[in-house]
Amino acid sequence: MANLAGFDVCMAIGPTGLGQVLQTQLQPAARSALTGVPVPLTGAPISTLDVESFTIAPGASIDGVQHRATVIASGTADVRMSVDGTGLVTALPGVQIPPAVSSVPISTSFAVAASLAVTINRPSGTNQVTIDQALVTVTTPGFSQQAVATSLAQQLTAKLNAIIQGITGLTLQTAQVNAAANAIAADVAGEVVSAVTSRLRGIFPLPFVFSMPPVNASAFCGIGLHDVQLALLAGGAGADPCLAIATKQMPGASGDIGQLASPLPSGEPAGLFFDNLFLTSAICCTLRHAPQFAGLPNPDPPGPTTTDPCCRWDNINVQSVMNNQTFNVHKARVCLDSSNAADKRFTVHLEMTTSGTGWDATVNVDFGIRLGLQGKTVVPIVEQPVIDPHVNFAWWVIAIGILLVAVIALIAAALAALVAAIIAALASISISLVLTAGIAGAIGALVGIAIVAAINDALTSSLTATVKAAANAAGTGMSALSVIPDELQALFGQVDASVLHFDDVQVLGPLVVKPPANEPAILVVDDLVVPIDQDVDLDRGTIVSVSDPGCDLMWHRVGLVATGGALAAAAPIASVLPHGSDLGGIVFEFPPTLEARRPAGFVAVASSYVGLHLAQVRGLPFGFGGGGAGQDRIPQAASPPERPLVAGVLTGEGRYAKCAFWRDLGNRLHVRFTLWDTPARVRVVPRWTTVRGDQVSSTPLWTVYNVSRTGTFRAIPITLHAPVTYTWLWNGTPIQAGGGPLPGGVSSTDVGLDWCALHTDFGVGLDGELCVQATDRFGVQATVCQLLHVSGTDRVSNVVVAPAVVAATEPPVEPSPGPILLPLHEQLRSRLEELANR
Amino acid sequence: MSVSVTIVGGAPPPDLAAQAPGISLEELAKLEGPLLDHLRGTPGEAARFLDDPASVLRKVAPQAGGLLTAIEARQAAARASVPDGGGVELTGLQVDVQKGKPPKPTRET
Repeated sequence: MANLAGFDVCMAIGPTGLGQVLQTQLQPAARSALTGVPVPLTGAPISTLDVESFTIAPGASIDGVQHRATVIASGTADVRMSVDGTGLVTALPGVQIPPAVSSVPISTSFAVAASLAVTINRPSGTNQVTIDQALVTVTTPGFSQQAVATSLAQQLTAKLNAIIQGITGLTLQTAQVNAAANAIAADVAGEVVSAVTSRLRGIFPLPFVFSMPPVNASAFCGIGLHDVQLALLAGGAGADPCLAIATKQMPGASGDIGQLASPLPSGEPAGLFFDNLFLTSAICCTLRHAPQFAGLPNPDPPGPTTTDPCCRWDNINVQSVMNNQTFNVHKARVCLDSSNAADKRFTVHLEMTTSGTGWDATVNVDFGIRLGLQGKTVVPIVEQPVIDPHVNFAWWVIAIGILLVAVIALIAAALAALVAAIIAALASISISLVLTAGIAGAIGALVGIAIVAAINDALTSSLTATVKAAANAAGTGMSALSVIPDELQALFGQVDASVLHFDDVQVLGPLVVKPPANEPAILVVDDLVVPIDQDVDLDRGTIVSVSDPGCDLMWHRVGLVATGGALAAAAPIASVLPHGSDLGGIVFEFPPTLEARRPAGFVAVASSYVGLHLAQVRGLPFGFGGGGAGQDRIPQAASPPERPLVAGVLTGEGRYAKCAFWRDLGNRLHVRFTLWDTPARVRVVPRWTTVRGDQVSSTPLWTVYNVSRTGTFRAIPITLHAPVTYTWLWNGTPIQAGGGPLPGGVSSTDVGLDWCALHTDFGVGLDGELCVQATDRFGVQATVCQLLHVSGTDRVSNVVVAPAVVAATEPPVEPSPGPILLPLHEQLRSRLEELANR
Repeated sequence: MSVSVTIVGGAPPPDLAAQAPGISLEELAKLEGPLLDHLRGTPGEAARFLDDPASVLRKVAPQAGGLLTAIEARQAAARASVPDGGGVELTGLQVDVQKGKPPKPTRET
């Protein structure tokens, strides 16, 4: 097993996995950067480059000496230019040259290739990892200046002829056209290489922020995420090169990244490596936190240490009440036994006493625990415990019917609880390890099965519940420990465990990279601290006042945000009041509320901040009502809590953001946010037609009619490049022209180029989700969804508000097949969306 | 599970009467000497005493008929409250017999 150079946990990612990571992180940014690039070509004053199909190969080479990784990319590029053709055309006196000749569009395509050498590091003292560029090399393989010149000359000639066709007296100067094309072609390769190189360099550095949860020295024996360091490491004997993310978990960990050699065995794509001392220390600490061992002091002699991987409590008298029986634990020991290199195990030894009227008992117990792999899950496998009880009975106790078997059962049940506590300590390590490895599913059940199967059946009934309780208690310690920050796991992938080696623990397996599909460039990741009655503009990443037009989120006390009017003028100014308005000596407490300002949206989600991706934010049901949360929903703490309130936000400028909110003890709002460069790329404008049918019921106030509706939805691309194709989905099912019926109340459907229509039968409501997936010429996709809940009936007021004489002269109103206006709120919404799309 | 047991001598405490109604402590105390003499050096009998104390006491003091009847009744009640041996399987049993004071009770069972 590799030496971790003083680190406690190391995640190692081999070249293949790292290539996938870099592909995931760099490709979207590069593709975005390589669209619409201006190229200064001689003779073509307006020239734009679009690199299409720019693909980074899913592999990397790691140069440990230079501390950099290199990925290779390839793609095809289009250069579009407008050549001034005025000088290429000769006109007779009196004949005007058509204005269109001054800007003749021509284009050419060719391949580009790029080599991106990057470094990955964590700037000292920061909570971010940076992917930086060491060298960008761009070439245009296969570019033939001669062929392009010929092609451009032919295009130019054809375009000019098309413009001047039918206009007599104009002639093309073929030699000039050829010369112009040659001049352009001579510059293409160099200018494209320069432009692409410049744009690729421009995407660096790519920073990725991660959290370092504060370590509470007393909460878990000072064990926690103390430090993270990264390095690109060269391969060695039996080891592949890798990106190593090494963390210090122990209070005095001495990790030196400069001394770390690649721990990744040859041929393994990725691995997680745990130092034994860390594991043993964590187990011992978990044991101390188990309820069965409440009051357990620091290990005496102190441990574990590198040379003595044990925690021992040799001369203690810890009382533990189990099943209403008091037990005194006099000795406890957990050791890592490496004496058999092929059979590493933890050994556990316990000594305890208990007594009752006329009897006492001393019990010694020994058992071993191995870590095993069941499927892809790491589980503790518990050996059959060796239990050695000695019972002293007064003869008369036996005589009056105190049965030995009853005493033994009492001891055994209590012993099971103690054993279970130790197993739970190990189980929690495995749970944590597996969670880190990204395969948390069903771990609880599997651990339970492994433990129960390994214990004497006679103890099963008492053990099962005990183990669960102990595991739950232990779970508050080790299993809550983050050994690799979640954000870095999300960024660099997770290890799907497939091979486990014990001592030190290695979990090897494929790297699971979960790329956010088509994730556009992240514009900014930032933290803001918002005082009460201040507001946030996410697009600018700054604190603003409520009157600022860019205001996205408001952190305001209710009742003090009104502007204008006599009441507002009479009210005290919010900023001078620490808690609320003082009216006549009575102080009203106004708890602040987090609200989105129209037209921004705010939707709280159950996902974690890290786990929330753009695709999910896009799918949130943002309405026009803003949204928000009272302060009670926002956790308050002295330091960033583990579970802040997480929400997706649609900003006033049409970008999507994800935010994590918490309040400090001064009730300031802390906002961590990621803003994507994602103006909603496509919008959907609905129009409704309603046909009234039979009357359903009537009261003096209302008459209810069955209605049939037709909703026509038109997609409008905002930032997508034409041509755009659309796929319409109703509750996930593609909508076909002439299709239907579909579940959710759709009787029939129609689809056009950029629209679809849903029809309902009389009396049938519409209930479901309509989505449109738009794909542009670059393959960039955008999806917008709308939840539709539309009744199958309409309620019409019977209260006459028009002049009575008119109503008296009108014939009775028959159900009309003509269009009926929608309710006011639906009209407003439709109108607002139309206006927003102008 | 392998268990070792030591059977210890000593007079029953006075408060035992409250826990064992129907048993005369005076009569019970008279059995100590003959019983321990009988068990000492005979592990088989000691083990039998643990499992079925009434039968061993009947060998040692057949004359104590009333006391033995009361003891048998208590044993039957105790067995009924610990069905199936309490779920514990004893794979080994070592028994020793010592004269002396009984263990000091620290907690009522």
